[in-house]
Amino acid sequence: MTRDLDRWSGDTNGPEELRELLRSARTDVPSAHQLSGLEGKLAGLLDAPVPPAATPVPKPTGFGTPGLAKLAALVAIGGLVGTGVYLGTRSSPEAKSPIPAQTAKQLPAERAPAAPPSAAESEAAQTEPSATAEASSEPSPHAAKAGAKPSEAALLNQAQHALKTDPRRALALTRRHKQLYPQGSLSQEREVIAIEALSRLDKNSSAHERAEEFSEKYPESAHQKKVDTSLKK
Amino acid sequence: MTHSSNKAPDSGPEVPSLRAIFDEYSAFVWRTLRHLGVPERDIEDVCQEVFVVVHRKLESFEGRSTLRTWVYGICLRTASDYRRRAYIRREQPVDELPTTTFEPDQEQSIERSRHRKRLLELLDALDEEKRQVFVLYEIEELEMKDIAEAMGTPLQTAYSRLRAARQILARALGETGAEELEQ
Repeated sequence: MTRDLDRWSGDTNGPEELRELLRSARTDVPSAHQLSGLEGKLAGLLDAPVPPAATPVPKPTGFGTPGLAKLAALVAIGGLVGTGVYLGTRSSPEAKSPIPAQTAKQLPAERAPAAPPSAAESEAAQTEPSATAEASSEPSPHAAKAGAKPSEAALLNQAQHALKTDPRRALALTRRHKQLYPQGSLSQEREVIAIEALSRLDKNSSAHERAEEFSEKYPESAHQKKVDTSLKK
Repeated sequence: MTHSSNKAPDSGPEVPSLRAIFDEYSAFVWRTLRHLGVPERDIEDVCQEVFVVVHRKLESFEGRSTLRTWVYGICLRTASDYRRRAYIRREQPVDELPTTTFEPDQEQSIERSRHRKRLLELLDALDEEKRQVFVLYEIEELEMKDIAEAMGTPLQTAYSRLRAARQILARALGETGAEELEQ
């Protein structure tokens, strides 16, 4: 058994400057204000029941291995109950401010090509506003300040918020999410929101097609019940 | 740490509540993401993603590693995923947003910011895998076997990466005899 190496911060072997930096780093924790902000974003989720496990979760695997692809799927497994609460109760100001149009315009050239839209999406796209245009009127203070793209969570948070009052906008936001994060870790959540939005827009055939695609792609998804419920609306 | 009660008896280790995990690990997750290279402006969002994943996977936590190692593993992969989005780096602004801190001692705060900036500059010299090992070992003080577990790599690989990381950093600091440091 290999004995752990002495840590640099605790002995005299490491470079002196780095020892000091490492000691400082260990006490460099976020402020109460920062943690409070994070807690606010997770409100609802923190005290939500643990979603049932749909599949066993493997031990963590190395990066760049097939484990990463598995993670993307596993990440999305869980109850939308929890996610819905989480998305629906986020207090982030990101839900209220907009993505700079400049960022949206830059995206097509900079991102990898998104998957071609499904038939359901194509039909929906005929009546929904442009995803980028919609997202441009949405957004994140981070994006506004930094010119960076919105996070997955921020986009879906906005979509979730819009679902009941403006399903068309919710749908546009899910399309934008798909463009920005074609392999995103919240892909299942995106699809669930999109299906409900289509259903609310009375695009039942599109909703059903997309729901079928969802079921095929995520046969063990814990979100399936939610998808079924959405179709009945 | 409080535990959730919705775990069936004899179905595995008792699962702590997300609230309990948040209370215990949120500061560490935040700190780790920072040292893994997530910019200050995005740490809160990436932290959020970490805990969403923890929530989803919590029920299937099998206790094959410690909860701490498990959470760190999720943290590593979430940060890695974030960094992999190449165009984020292209869109990254030159200026970082200032960190809002409320430390009573302004001088201490300035010193801390200076240290943080310098350390992050140094860590940027490491590739992702070496950086992960170095951060978890030297800052988070995990045992090497736990780091290997969190990364899904053989123990010796983790050791090799740590040694390589140390060598690179020693050189970056202009230390003479960097190789000897590894003996």
